[in-house]
Order: sequence, then structure tokens, then C-alpha cells
Amino acid sequence: MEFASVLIAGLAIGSVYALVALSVNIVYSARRIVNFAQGDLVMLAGLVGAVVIVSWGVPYVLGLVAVSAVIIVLALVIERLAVRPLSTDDSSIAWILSIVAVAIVLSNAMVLIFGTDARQFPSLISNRPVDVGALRIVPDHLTAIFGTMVFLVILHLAQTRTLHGKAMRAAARDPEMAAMLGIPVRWYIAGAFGLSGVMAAIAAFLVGPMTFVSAHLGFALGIKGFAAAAMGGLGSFGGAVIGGLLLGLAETLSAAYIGSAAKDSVSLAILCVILIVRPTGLLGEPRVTKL
Amino acid sequence: MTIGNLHRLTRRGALALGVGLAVSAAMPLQANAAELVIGVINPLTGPGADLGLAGKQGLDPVISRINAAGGINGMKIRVIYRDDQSNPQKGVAAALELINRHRVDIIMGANLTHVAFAVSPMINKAKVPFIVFGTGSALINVKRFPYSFRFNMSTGVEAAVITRHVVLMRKHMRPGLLVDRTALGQSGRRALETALTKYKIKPVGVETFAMSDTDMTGQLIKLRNAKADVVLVWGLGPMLAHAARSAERIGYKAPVYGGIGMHQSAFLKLAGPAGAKWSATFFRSFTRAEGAPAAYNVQAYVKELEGVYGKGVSSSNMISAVWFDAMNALAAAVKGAKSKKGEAIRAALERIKGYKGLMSTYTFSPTDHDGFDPRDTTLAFALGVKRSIRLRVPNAP
Repeated sequence: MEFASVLIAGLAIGSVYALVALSVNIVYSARRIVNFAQGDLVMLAGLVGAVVIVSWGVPYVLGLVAVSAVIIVLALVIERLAVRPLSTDDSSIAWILSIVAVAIVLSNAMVLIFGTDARQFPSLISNRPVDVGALRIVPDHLTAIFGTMVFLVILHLAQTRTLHGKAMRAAARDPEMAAMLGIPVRWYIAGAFGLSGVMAAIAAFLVGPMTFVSAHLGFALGIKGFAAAAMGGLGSFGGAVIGGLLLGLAETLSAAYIGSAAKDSVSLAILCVILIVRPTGLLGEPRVTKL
Repeated sequence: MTIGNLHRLTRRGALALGVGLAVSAAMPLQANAAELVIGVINPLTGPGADLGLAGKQGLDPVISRINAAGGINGMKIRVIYRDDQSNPQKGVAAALELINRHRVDIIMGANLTHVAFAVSPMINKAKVPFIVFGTGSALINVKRFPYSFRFNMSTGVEAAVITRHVVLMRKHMRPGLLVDRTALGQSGRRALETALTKYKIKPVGVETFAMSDTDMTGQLIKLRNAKADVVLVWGLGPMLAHAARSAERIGYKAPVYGGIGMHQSAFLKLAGPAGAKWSATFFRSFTRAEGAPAAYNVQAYVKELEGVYGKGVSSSNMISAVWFDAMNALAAAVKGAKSKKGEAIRAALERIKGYKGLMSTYTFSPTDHDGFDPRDTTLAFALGVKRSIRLRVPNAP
């Protein structure tokens, strides 16, 4: 039973990382760049959500819609001002600095607007544990795990079975060829950022009850999300979820059975081993360049 | 004059102006003999912001009252606040500015231990009296930091109170430690381990967590498997709230005691029912026994603060009371010193004996710069706060 508790806790925290990793991969799928500000977008969504639902009393679902709208607009602004002008040349890495700067600006803006205190985020069901037989389960954990699986399926189907998903993959793989074929590449890239904004809002609503929401958590969350995405394979939604869950399990199991001091070392060691053995991540596709 | 020459001249002029402004900003300001300048380095933003706000709310009314009465020895007090953002590097930058540019006479603050450790060496090197509020025991050392004085309770005192209660009153002989990885948590760990040696007890497990951790299930399972019959925690409010929830999730019912960080507003708001039985060290004057009222003078002080700041009053207003005591005692010392030179203020502070404040009776000496009386520390439940007054743990001192 103890092992089951550790497992569920690991899967729950892994779901947090997986949701951020999914958002990272949405953008990467459309335009081979990593949005390092994704963790801060999730926290911003959480803080706005906490104000809208708790302070203003807006119903939960309506709150999610409102927060999504805010974060979509912000994500589109980030794409237009901080990414597009600097990512025209595939060999340029100026966008990295730009996105990191955006992350810092977001983090400081959150402190100025919302203060520094961590806030409680309202639960969809409950954050108190319930006894199910010999097991103690937190409904919010199950919501996060289940929600992650649902969005994995939705994103995977959208990417592989819809015309828009295929067009987005084509735009990411070869923007020039895609443009020649009539695919509006810029629209798809902007659309990917907008979708990552929706994902950030959903992630905030699912994980906020577990992590609380705070201006200071964005950076750490973003890094873990990126690590999960890299572990699973950048661009692969299934990989993002596997990477996130693996990272969460590694952290919790190592804290429980080796020691808390080993927690970060073990999870980073696993990341290193995976990337050494398979540099594109567990489910990442190797990128082939024709000469 | 061609257009090109004009542009060059304008560019050079702008560059010269910029350099001039930068140089003048860095140059020390002229000291004013008719005023006493106090520099305050405190977290006004960041995880420790409620402590910084509490400090400001404790200090400002005292300064206003002293200045309204004519100042100290005819000198009005001017306070310069600098936000360390709960960050040691920012604290160091603030200290350098206060010492070199503003040439302050006294520095107060550094409520966060890891910031206090960063700024103490340079402030003492500059021979500026430093009223430090960080609780780390090693911050007060008359050989290493001869100009540092503390009115706040120290980690060593907290650890002694916790271990005495846990071992002698509750008969727990297998403590497990759960501490954060910052200087605060490690300072608490060292203090607890040292205090436990008095009873010839070693912790059965020591687990740590990072400031960004949101789940401590693994750490608590490890302590449970080590058969810890009590858990001693050290860290800041939000992380301890996560710890409380993690303990509830796995049904871990061992009693939990911690340092004063547990009484931060974040723990009160975020732990929920999971933190109901958690308790931590606290100032005795801000507590009451079950069924008894709190001390009248403390209630009056809290009411006065609420009158001044309304809804904006800090939830850490027990820290405001410590600042209240510190500034009043400091003012008396400076008055007696009849000088604002660092050496004179230091000597005057060392002469404080039995100064009765709201929070404690303070005594300093040339060999002891920790003025807080340990007997004014107790244990109180973190939740169930009524108008800032906590409920004392049964059988706590």
C-alpha cells in the first residue's frame, strides 16, 4: 500500500511535468523552438484563475474560458514580438535569449501584479485524501493524471488525423516547402502558440490545486517541463507524457527509497542516460537533413 | 559645422552626460550631522515579503513618534529602505550602497537568514552597528561579527525549546528531521541536531526538500520507514504547507514541530486542515493558553497596528512587535551614547540590561549580543489564529 501511495504521488507530480511538456511540444511541433517561458505562462494562468474564480466568484468552467482567452492573447503577443522576428533564420539561436527574457519579464510582472505569496487554487473535485479500501487517494491527483491522458489522446489525434495537424507538422519540418505548397506557415506557428496558451490554462487548472500557484514557481516548472519533453522526445506528445511521468516517478521513488538528497541527481541521471543512448529522446524522431 | 559633426557632437554629449550621471550616482553623498540615518535591508518582495512588510510596519510608527518628539539628542531619524528581494546577492548590493553611498549610521534588517549571512561580513567590516533579524545562531558571534546585535529569537533558542518539549514532555525518542536546503533550513538542522545531543539522541532520519518542491511524500515515507515517532521541520510557510498536505496524503500521523517559519501567513492559508495539529516556536507574549486571554499590552499593540494599517496590516505582526522593541531600545542606547559613531553605539547597546519590551526582556553584554530572553519562547499551534494571537501547545513553556 505504501508503494501504491508513492506511485500515485509520482504519477501525479509527473502529470504536472507532462502537461507543461505537452505545451512545449505543441510549439516545437510547429516551429522547432522551445518555449522556455511555458512554465511562467502556466503560473500566470493559475494566478489569473485564482483571482477570477476565488476573488471574483466566476464559475469554474467560465473561469477556464476567460483565463484561456487571456493566455492565448499573451502567447500570440510573445510569438509576434519575441519569436517571429528572431527565428527567420534556422541557424539563429537569438530566439533563445528572447524567450528567456520573456520568462524573466513574466515572472517579475507576476510579482508586481499578484505579489509574492503562494495562493490556493480551487479544486475541481477535492484535494483532501479519501480512503478507498487500504489506499488513500487524492481526487485532484486522479484528475491531473486522467486529464493528462485525455489531452495526450486529443493532441495526438489532432496532429496525426486532421488536416491542420498534418499542415502544422509540414510547416515545422520544412517551412519553405510548406509555404510553396500553399500552407500559411505563419498562421500555423501563431496557432501553435495560441494552442500552447490554451494548454497552459488547462495545465494550471489541473495542477494548481496540487502545487498552489505562485510567481516564483514558473521557472522551475518550465525547466522540469522542458526536461520531460527532452526525455520523451521533442515534438512527440506521447514522449512528453512518458517523459513527464518518468521524471515524476523518478523523483518520488528516489526520495522514498534512496533519500531526498538523491532526488534531483537520480532524475537528471536518468535524463542523461536516455539522451546518451537515444539523443532524440525516447519517442523523438531523428531529423534527417538531405545534402 | 556639418550634419555629421553635429551628430557626433550630440552622441558624444549624450555619452558624456550618461557617464557623468553614472559617476555622480555612485559617489558617496554628503553626511548630515544633524540626522541619524538608518538603512534597512529587508525582503519587500520575494518569499519573505510578509516579514519585510511587518518590519516596516513595526519601524515606521516608532520613527514618526521619535521624530515628532524632536528626534534623538536633537537628531531627526531618516530611514532608507532597500529591498533585498529575499535574495542574498541583492542584499549584498543593498548593503554596499547603504554603507558606501549613503554612509548610514546603523543598519537594521536581513530578516532572512541566508541574506543575513551574506551581508553580515561587510557591514561588520565597515564598523556599522547592525541590528540583525535573521534567526541563524551563527549570525551572532562577537568575535566574527562584533557590530551585530539581535533582538529576535535565534534558531538555537527555538531548537532548545522544541527538543526539550519533544523529549522531556512528550517522551519522543526517535525524531526525524525534514528541513529545506537553504541556509535557513540547514541552520535549523544544525541547531536541532546540537540540541538533541543534550539528550544523547540522534535523528533517525534527515530528509531535505528544495524551495520549488511541491510534494514531500517520498521524504515522509522514508521517515516513517525509519520509525520516526516525531517529525521536526524547518523551512518557510509555503513549503511546509506542502509537507503538511503530503503527510495527510499518506496518513502519517506522527506529531510535527517546527521553527517560527511555520507561522508565516502562507502556511496558515495553504495547509488547510492538514496543518491543524502542527505547531512551532513562537513568541510567548503573542500566545495564550486554552481558555485564557493574551497579554493586554500585546492586544493593545495589535489593535494600534490595525488602526494605522487597516486591512493592509501584515499577518506577521509579531515581527512588527520585535522591530518596535528593537527601535525603542536602540533609540535609548543612541541617546545614552550621545554620539552616532559606530563604536559608541556598539558600546551603548552592550550596556542594555533588562530592557522590558513587548516581546521580551532584553539583555546584552560585551560577550553576548543576543538580547532575547529564551524564556520568552514557547510552542504554539500554527492554525486557529485569532487577531494574531496563537494558542499555546499544552505543557509548552
